[in-house]
Amino acid sequence: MSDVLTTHNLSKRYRKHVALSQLSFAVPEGSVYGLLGANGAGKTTALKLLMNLHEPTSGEAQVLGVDSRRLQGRHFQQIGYVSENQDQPGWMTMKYLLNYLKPFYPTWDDERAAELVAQFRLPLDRPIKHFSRGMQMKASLASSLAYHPKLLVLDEPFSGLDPLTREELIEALLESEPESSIVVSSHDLADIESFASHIGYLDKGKLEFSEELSSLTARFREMEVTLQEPALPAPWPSHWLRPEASPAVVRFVETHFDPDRTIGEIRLLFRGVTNIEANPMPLRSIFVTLARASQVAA
Amino acid sequence: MSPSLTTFQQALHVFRKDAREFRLEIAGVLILTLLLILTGVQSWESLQERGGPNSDPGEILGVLLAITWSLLIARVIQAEALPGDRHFWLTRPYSRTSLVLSKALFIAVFLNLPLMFAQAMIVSLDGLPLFSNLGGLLWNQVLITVVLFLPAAAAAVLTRNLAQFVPAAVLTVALMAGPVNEGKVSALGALEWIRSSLGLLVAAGIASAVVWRQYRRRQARTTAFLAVISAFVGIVLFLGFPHSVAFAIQSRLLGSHEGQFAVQLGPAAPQKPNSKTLNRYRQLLKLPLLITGADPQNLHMQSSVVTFKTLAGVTRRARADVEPTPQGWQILTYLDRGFFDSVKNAPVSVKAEYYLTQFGNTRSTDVPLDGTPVYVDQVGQCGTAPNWDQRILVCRSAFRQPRAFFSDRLASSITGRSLQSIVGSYSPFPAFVSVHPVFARTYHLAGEEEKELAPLAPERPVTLNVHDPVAYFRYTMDIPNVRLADYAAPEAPDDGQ
Repeated sequence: MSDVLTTHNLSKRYRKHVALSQLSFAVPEGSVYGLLGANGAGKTTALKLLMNLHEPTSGEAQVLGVDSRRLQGRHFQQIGYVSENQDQPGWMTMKYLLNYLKPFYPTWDDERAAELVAQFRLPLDRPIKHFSRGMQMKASLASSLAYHPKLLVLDEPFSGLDPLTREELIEALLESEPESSIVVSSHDLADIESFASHIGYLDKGKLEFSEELSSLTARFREMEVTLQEPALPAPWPSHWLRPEASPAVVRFVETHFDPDRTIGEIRLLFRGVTNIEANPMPLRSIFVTLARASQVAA
Repeated sequence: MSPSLTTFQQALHVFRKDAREFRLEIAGVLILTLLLILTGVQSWESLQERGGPNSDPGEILGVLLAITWSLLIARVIQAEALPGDRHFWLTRPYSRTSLVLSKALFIAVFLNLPLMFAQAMIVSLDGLPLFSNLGGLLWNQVLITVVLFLPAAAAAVLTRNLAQFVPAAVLTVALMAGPVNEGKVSALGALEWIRSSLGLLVAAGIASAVVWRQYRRRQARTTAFLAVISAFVGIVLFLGFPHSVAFAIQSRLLGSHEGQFAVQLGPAAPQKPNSKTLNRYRQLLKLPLLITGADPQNLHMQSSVVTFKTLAGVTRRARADVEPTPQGWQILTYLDRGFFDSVKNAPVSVKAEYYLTQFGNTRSTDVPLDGTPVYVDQVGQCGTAPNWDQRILVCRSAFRQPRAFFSDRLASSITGRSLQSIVGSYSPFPAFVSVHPVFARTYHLAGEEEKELAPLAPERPVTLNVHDPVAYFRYTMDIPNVRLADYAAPEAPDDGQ
């Protein structure tokens, strides 16, 4: 499976502020790549660099085999970009927008467009500027899915939307798989978890990890160790995060879980271990753990 | 699967979208253009009834149109704004070439074409020949595009919205003010067109470069910085544009063959007793020029500097003007009082440099006095009109001021004395920058008595002699042993033209 998008040491600096540092990751064809991070982590900057809306300070990115700095009009016939910050042509009605965009795309699918409009219950004759925020996102997504893009880039598409609207958007996105590879940035972990196949985590402009969701959830475990004599060992391993100790129990998050190695390591560091529990973590807990660890480190 | 749009098809597609989006604004422009026709037309009959041409026809509408055009250009370009990263078109399959083409097409169709139509209507309804003024009609569109549309487009591609556009446009207008004022501000006199044309060329170059760079690279800050720096350099060069360069260009265009005539200092005119208090700081000198070998009416002189040098080697350089007199020409200059008083009776050498235009190919046309207009070649439609208790000569031409002509019946409106010749711009171009296409000038006519303005029923017709500039050169006159006291003239407000 080839990659539809790769970045290599992609960096962006605004005067003294480093918005993105040495970003390297790849998005395999047909995957849904969730780019996670707190507000200000650099997700939007990364996506704007990929869409050639900004020029990188250094590094490079290949989008559908094209250097992102050379990305221009015709390349967007295969790319869809939906962003919460995008200014839409508000004077156009939905019907006019679809009719206007259609000639730009050789792969435009009238049936798919009609389906999406119906699915999103979008009024065709009302100017887009009179749409609610959720409807505007739906309109933007409908106009981007109607031409079956090879790559769909979504910047915080679910931000501020009600649960029903989110569900509708996600449904439409899932329908567009596998013909479209999707990159979606969000801090809304629950939504990403439900459909992302790959996850990248950005923190203060740096990519902390980038991997398949299944391997990510497999390597994160909330560990609960019951002891006869509670005590935190020193030195504490760096891949064990958020340590908590109560009279007989020590809890922490193992970021590189491997049943044999982790248990062996625990038995080596703690005396009088009576019980070890390894609980799988939802993505939200993983994200919170990493974010807090980052705050502590800072 | 439908085929991709070609560049031109995409331009048309965007053009249609813009036409729909800005239909109300377009309607506003068309209404103003219609008003320009309705208020700008003045038939010869209505000119007669009014006693002269409308004062500044279309000026207010012209300003209104310029503002409306600029705002419409800004709106249509900012529909796909170039600065910023939020606009939807940036991630859609737009071709930049198509985008530029669509905007250019929009300007041509909704701004240039209606204006051309309005100007053609006004010229025709005013009674001026349209066909022979087609060059002016087209050239005027080029000028309006260079002076207004292109700078407005340059300001628009650097800004995201009207709030940003307006200050940028005001700055652009300020930078453009110099080159645009050809025919109004004329430090170089009839040669001003050279400086203005070069200024406009530079302005067009800068504006085009801004538009090109923005559509190619979308780097608003850098582009704006480069544009402002270039504009300031251009302004410095414009303001410091030397007369000698204008002369060199003009003489190259017209030719500068050796004159078949000589210019000498004439005898001092008898001075009237001067009862006025002497000016304590300066002395006016009038140096008459005797021209032999050429009709003074076929010459136009413009002096740049006069140098006075005493036997002791003391020199003074003074700026000088040259004005026509019934006998020929005279140099007017001022000397500082101290220098003049110390050398006025001593022999002084006078060296005068002036620029001289020689006219030829004189054609004469009689303008009847019954008010019937006559079309005078290269001057335009000329005729007389009653104006209170006098009769005036009115000449109207399309797209530029009437060319140079002379007549013994022209009079100064202030003194009533014969004015003899009218010199316009030497510009070879068929149009000036103007929204209203008709330029009108009125001239007072001298009556039978030299100092009387023509009564309502003058006896003889007005003969206009039109001539073309055929040579342009610099002439230096070096005359030794001049007694300046003989040429001193009282400085009085009623003594000049």
